[in-house]
Amino acid sequence: MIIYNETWLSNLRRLHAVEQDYQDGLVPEIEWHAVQKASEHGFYSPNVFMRVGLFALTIITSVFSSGLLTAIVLSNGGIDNFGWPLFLAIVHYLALEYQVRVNHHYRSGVDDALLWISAGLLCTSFVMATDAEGFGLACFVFLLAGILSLRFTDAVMSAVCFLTFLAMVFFGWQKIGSLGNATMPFIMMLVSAGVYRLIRLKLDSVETRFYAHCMLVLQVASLLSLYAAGNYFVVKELNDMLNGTVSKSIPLGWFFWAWTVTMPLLYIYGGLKQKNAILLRSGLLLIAAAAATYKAYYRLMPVEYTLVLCGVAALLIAYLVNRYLSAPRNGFTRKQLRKDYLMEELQIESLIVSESFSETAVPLEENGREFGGGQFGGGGSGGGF
Amino acid sequence: MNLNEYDELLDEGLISADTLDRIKKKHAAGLFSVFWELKTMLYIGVSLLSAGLGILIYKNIDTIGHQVILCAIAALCAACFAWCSKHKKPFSYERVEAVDSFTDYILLLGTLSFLSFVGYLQVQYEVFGTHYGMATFIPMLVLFFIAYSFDHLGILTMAIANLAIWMGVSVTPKKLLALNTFDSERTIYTYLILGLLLLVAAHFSERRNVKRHFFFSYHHYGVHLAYISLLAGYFYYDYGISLIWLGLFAVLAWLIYTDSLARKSFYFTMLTVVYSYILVSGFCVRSISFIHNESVVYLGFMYFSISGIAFVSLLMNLNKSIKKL
Repeated sequence: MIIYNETWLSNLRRLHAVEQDYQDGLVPEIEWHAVQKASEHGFYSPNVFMRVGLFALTIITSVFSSGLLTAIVLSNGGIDNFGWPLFLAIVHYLALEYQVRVNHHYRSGVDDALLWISAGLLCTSFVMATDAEGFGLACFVFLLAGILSLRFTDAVMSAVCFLTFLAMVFFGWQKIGSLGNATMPFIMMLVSAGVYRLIRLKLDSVETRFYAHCMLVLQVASLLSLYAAGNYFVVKELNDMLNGTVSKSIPLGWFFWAWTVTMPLLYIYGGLKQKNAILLRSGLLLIAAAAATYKAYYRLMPVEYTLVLCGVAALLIAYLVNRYLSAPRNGFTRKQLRKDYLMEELQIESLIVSESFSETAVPLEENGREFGGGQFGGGGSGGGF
Repeated sequence: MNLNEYDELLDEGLISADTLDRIKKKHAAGLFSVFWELKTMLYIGVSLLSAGLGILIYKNIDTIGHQVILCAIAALCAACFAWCSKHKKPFSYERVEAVDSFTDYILLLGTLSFLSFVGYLQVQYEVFGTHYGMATFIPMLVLFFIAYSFDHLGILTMAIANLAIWMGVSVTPKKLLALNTFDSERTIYTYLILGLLLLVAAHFSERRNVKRHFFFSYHHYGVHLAYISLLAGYFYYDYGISLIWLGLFAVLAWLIYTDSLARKSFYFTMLTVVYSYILVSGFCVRSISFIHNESVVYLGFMYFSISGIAFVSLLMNLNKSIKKL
């Protein structure tokens, strides 16, 4: 099923793991070289910046060469049926297989671009052929994304696969009528929790050893969808949308409020207890979602007081954590254990700071009194999974 | 990778039993880092607080009174700087590691409240009068001073952004990508001068060993601004004059290209290739468009198909050659 050479994939996995231990000073240089020598692979996987450049250039090439072909065919007669996108999809997919099998591209940008273009074209042609929507479309995309994630071990594709799976369950369950709509949140919770559980069980198993990226993304996606399934705002607005009503409250409102508020805290608790970064970060992120949900229905105080209070609270918590962890305690440390290549190379933190604060509170020339206010976009953008 | 797989490494004789033991001990200890969580929390705290205070002041200006507000801002600013000075490490031309993330962000909060203070003074009391240049020049100087004395990269990039504002332009991506930004010769030249200035500053930092690690921030902004302004100049002028800009671009691109290869930087090499691709494509499209019949469309499509493939293979080869260096 998997398109890549499995020995090379194992070698790559080994290299990454031992490289980290080498950087931590656990592996002597001579052994690191021995591991490197014994774990050679022939993949072409360029540096991440090159990958971005190659991705963009491949898209340009594909768009214009498809455009040229289309223009030539168009001038010789109509092509308004599904056959043409299907043809282009097949051409792109063959190019993808060729690049991966013959030129050994592995996450090079070229293969990413071809993968997404061929998948997109295939979906276009499916919609043109069948006029499918809702359940049918979800089933098709789910199957397609599933096959492609299994074959190319692509993390984003696996997220698409999971989301379309949810959509499939959603549209399928809706078909059973009003009972379906009423029990929808619980079904979504069950499905999300089930997927999360399954992923956790299979995390260290042999079958999933080449899907580490996919497993990571699927954990995040299922945790977020588990929360969203019971979030008061989502449940109420979706309920209104499905029934075409404008309601003041919903049945079991107390339950969904409890879910909205306590789930993030449970995630954080679980994250700290299991030392699970994914759970912890999802929980922290969802605190913001819980706050936004609350603000959508209740107005406790003017926005500026909320901002100041939350800001002070965040700084206070940070101060306490910082002091508590001035030396590592209970297995936690405030120190960075491993340098992150992208963060270091681009000094992302400084760019975010500059982007968020550079134009705050700068004395203004023309706009006169429009003082302060400022931007505070990008909350949480420093976290990054 | 789980521990069984490390056992395989031992069986294959690639690592020693000692090494495996060390690795197992580390896995068992399982130290968990909250470094980024802490930083994100601090970032959110500073963002929310400074935004909230800004609105608070703006809304209540008539009820609290100006002196009270000024004092409050000054007090916050002073408190932050007092904390940071207390924990400050001695100055050095080399990199000085931050005390901890908390102090880093308190310094940022102090700096932001200082900027608010100056801004407020100007808006309310016009301390700089109509010398608007001074109103941005002084904060910029202070920002550079803080950045160098406390060794703070975030404040350095803010200082660079303020330098741009003092020169009358903006370096936010939103502004740079907007189509109508480069609609006058004056803007183009300002951006070009700023870009070159930053490139010089970058190389000065490195050659003279004055905070070498500031190199990236200067170079990053310098490279983008210089390339973008040269491209803007190229597209601004008519075909004849634009060739001069093309030449200038080529010279700069060559310099940055050789420099990037020398420092094995994938990032700056990629930028050079991508910006050059835009220039080459612009030149080809402008040249093709002299042909006045319908084959011009086909030629355009063909150009992009072929050039795309050519640049893909160029990037792939560059990646290989940088790796080999």
